[in-house]
Amino acid sequence: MNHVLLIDDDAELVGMFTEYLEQEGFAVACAHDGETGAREALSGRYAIAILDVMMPALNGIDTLRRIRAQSRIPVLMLTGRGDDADRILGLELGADDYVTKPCTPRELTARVRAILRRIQDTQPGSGAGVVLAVGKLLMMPAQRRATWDGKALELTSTEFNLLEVLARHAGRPVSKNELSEQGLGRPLARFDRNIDVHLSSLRHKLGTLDDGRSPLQTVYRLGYQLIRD
Amino acid sequence: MGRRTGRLFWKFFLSILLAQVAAAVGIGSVFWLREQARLSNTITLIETGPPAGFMLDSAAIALKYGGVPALREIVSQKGRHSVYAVFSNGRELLGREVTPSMREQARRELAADRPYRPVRQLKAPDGQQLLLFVPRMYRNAAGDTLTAAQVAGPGTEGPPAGMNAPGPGEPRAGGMPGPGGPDDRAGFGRGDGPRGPFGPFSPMSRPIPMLAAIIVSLFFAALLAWYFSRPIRALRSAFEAASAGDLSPRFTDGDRLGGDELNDLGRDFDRMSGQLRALMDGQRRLLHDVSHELRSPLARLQAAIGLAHQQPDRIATSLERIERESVRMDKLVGELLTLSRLEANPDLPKNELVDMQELVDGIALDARFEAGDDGPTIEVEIEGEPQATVRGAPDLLWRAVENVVRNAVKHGGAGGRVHIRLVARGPLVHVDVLDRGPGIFEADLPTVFEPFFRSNPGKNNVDGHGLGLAIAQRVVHAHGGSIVARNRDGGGLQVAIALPLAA
Repeated sequence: MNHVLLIDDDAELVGMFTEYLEQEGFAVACAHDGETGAREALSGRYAIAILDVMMPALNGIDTLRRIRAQSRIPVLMLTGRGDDADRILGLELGADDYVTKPCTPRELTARVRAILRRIQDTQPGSGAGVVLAVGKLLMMPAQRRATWDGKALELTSTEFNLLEVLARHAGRPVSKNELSEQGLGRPLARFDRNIDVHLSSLRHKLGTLDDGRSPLQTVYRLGYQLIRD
Repeated sequence: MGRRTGRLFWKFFLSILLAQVAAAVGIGSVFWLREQARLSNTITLIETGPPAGFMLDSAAIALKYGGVPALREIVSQKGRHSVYAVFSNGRELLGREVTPSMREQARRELAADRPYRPVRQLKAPDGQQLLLFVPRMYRNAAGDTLTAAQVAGPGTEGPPAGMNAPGPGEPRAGGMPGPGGPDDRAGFGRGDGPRGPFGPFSPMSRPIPMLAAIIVSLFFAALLAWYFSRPIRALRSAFEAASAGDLSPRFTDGDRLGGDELNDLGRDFDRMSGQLRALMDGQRRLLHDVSHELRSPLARLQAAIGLAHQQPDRIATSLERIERESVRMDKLVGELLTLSRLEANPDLPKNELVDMQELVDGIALDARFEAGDDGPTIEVEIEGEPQATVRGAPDLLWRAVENVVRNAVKHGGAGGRVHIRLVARGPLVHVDVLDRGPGIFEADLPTVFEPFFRSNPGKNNVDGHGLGLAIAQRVVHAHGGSIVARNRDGGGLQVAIALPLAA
């Protein structure tokens, strides 16, 4: 599971990234526009897609939308520095993480590894059969499945990871840094809104408690907490 | 803001008020002076009309043929008017009161030349000098008749009588209609006299019209001041909004300023803010585009450096890439500088004579060399006068035409042939660059000369930034020419440059 799909219109850059990632032991395929990129990503051959947001014709956001409509393949976004709106929109649409462009290939590789490790950690074999139950929430990390009140939840891999971290620590607050390290596989960067965006979309996907509150609560200055009731 | 607007308002207000007061005083003085002049020439205590003349005529005849007794009979007749006969010692024939002012005026009138001779100097048969005249009579409430001199009162008598005993015309100078008859001030002068019938204005009612006039005047001054300062206030708020960054149009409806020069000013302001807005939007877009354009070579640079770290044995390839990227960035920055220089200052020194034929030939030669053997053929066709010189900056003109030709070679090269046509016609020289490439979507034609325009965004080409045509357009415009792009019949693009020939 180290097939990487690179979707970027800058052929030369893609060439160099390919070379670098291949040296790092990945198998890399490229797509130079959103159309083919989405099609390739949905083929199921890849463990992760790296998606450039700034693309002509079908841009990265629309490509991501198209991918997320059918697949939960991990997606790493390449966004321009300063394009916060794109970044947050991307995360809300279910991207797993983002890297600002220009970035060093080393950073890109590290992010790809972090995402893949998170997924592989929870692949069958590591604590198979364990079921986490917090109130109405049931999580089966081995199958990467989660249900709320009996209904299946459609979670991206990052969302699943974050929810799993919260579920393991249910009833007590988990700091953002902890969430970032355990859920995203990297320490929290300054001004990083990644966790907040992911948790906000998680809150939308989870149902509410009997008293109408969200089971995901923000604990001021501490982080987030999954309420055990 | 409020304070300064208020100041303007008060300035207007006070100026208008001052103008009103000045006008009132001026008009008042004119009337007053005219009245004075009239009064000094008018008999106010003595009747001067034809009836007085007849009465005096008959009195004179009576005196002549009947002596003093006959005169006495005539004089003692009761009526609205009666003849006064005054002896030289000041005594009246019937012993009626004759004020010195009356006598004084009678004497003056005697000397004056009047059509009906209102005063006569007659000699009685007994040799006594008699002064005959008909005093002007007023009737008071009781039905008594009084001479004007009596009405004026003893306190005010003395020459010149007219000054102190105002006639009925005078109050009109004050702007208030007089009663037409005797002035109320006559009653005023008497103090305890019956004054009601002498005019509708009692002494107590006098300040009320004055007050009303002042209030109306203040009101109009305030109204006018508000009216004049309002559009300036509107403009002011517009300027303040503009300085705060809000450049939306504000005077399009035309109602806010009224249909005058201030309205034009508002429209000018809108036009100005519109241009500023367009300029700022353009700059913002350019900045955005520039940062994106710079980001791509930077990303490639970082990737190349990363590869160099990863594979030290292949450092030569990486360095080559790094060099290539830095050259590209340098080119991009250079083009941007040219563009900004052209935009900031379109009045570049352009005094040299440039032979367009030579220029086009040179560019075609370069383009052929760059295209190589397998590239498109580049043809130059010259029509009309071979000598076509343009006054301008040769380096910029070269760059402009070269950019257009390069563009044609790059995008239209697939057509196998790029055609450059040079025609000097009339006052213009036309340089048409034609290719048989894919052309440009009709919808994109208006934006083809904007910075960072790319005809085919789906196909990334790293060699161009979409600045070439933008630069060409600005150069041509700076030379007073025009540049148009249009699709050719049968496919391909035509870029038509027209430049004014040197005189």
